[in-house]
Amino acid sequence: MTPSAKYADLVLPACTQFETWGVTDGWKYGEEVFLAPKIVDPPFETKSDYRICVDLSKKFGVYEQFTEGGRDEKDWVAWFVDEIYRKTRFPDMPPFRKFAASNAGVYTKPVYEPKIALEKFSQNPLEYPLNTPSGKIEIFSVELFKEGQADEIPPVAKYIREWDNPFDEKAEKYPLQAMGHHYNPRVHSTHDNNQWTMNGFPQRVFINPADASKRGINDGDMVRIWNERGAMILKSRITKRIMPGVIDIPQGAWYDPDEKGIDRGGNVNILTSEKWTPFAKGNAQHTIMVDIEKA
Amino acid sequence: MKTYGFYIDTVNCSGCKTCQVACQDKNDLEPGHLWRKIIDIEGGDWKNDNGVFSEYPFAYHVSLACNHCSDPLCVQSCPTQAMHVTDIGAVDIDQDKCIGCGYCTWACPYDAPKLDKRTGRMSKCDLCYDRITKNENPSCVDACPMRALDFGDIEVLKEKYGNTRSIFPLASPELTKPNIIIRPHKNSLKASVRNASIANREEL
Ligand code: SF4
Ligand code: SF4
Repeated sequence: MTPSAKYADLVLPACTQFETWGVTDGWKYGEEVFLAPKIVDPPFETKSDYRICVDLSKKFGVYEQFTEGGRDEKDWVAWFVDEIYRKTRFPDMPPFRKFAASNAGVYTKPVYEPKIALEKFSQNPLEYPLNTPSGKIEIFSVELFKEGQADEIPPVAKYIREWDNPFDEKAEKYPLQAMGHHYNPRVHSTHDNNQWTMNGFPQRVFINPADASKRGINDGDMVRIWNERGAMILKSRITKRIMPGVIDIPQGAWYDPDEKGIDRGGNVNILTSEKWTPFAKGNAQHTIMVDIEKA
Repeated sequence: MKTYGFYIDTVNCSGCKTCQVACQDKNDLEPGHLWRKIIDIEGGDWKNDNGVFSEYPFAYHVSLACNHCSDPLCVQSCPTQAMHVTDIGAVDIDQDKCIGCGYCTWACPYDAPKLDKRTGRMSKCDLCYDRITKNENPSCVDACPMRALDFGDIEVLKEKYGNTRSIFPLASPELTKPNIIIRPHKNSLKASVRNASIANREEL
């Protein structure tokens, strides 16, 4: 069971994305649409997240509104391709029926000419102003200034020292910076229970030889990693691929506390501040100072 | 008869191990039972200039299965003739003859044959016999997201990619005449002088 499932009062069996219809686009950078057709039926009692919500909507008496006239997963994908993509970003992509039947899987917008950022604006800034209050590139942002937190939300681009950092006195107690990179065998926490991928990339704390030798830690030793928020015990990997003064605990590992509350799963979140970043309200995932010792 | 071989592009390989897992999936291997493995190499070091670190570490990866060598030491060392050269020129293990003594592993400079704990016999890459006889690539080759692997007649591969047969930390090709062509990562040339080593022994 996943750590989050352990906290849940009710667990509903959702199927994987291979057992339902889906569609996605190139998110941030790519100009493409990926179709994810249903390959097999959901096994046992599992249902797609959407189907679970549809069943609930029946109980709440809002089935018609929720499904907008009884659409199933595939209907929604068709609607999205035909009514959204084809009418906005991807006018030349084939209609859903043709796209799905061709089994191409991906539609890519052809690129004929190199794209130049802010091209029209740079040629004629008066006619093509930017989407900023002044219509210009803003070196000083009045909007950010109005936030009234110039220390943490500066109106000009500048370096901001992290809340937990190697430069103030707290660093005497916790001298190592910790980060949690996206690890090859998982997608965030998905696949942490996949033994094939996890065997190829076991959960380890990556330590530079300089920091390890100072503490008498050898490659493969169990080490305790802690700060004022929590502690974990994890196997070490001594590597030059991490900078001296920094350790790396790949993010997404499943929380697995022992009877003393020390995490054995290597979940970096137990060391992380819960303080939100001031402007984006994101998690300050890499703002962690710790110390380590041989366990 | 043509001789099959693998092409391994260590410039483009990202060390993602998709090939390793594709092989395990295709051959139903248990976790930790590797017919194809990825060796991570790292070397160089960090320079500390009065508290300012500058970097010159490097890393590259070598994806390796059995090289179906032309001079297979494994075959020579097998006491039961289980290890043999097949009709398509692959080196394979006759499971009825193998007694699991492991002499082949000791003899193979690439550590390719692995004990199958379920059967007590040795096992290794069979070039995906069922796939290549249908003119398909071995599973690992088709799985690679970086297109860093290729497969085929070694003469054709040689023509396409040159004739480099080794890279640090692999053995000298003189030993077994491995049927692999390697595109060497630029840092592999410095590997021996810049104290490079295998970084992921635990996973091999
Ligand atoms: S790589 Fe090893 S097991 Fe494979 S043929 Fe060569 S010597 Fe034999
Ligand atoms: S799948 Fe390709 S890129 Fe990934 S480790 Fe194998 S050869 Fe390298």
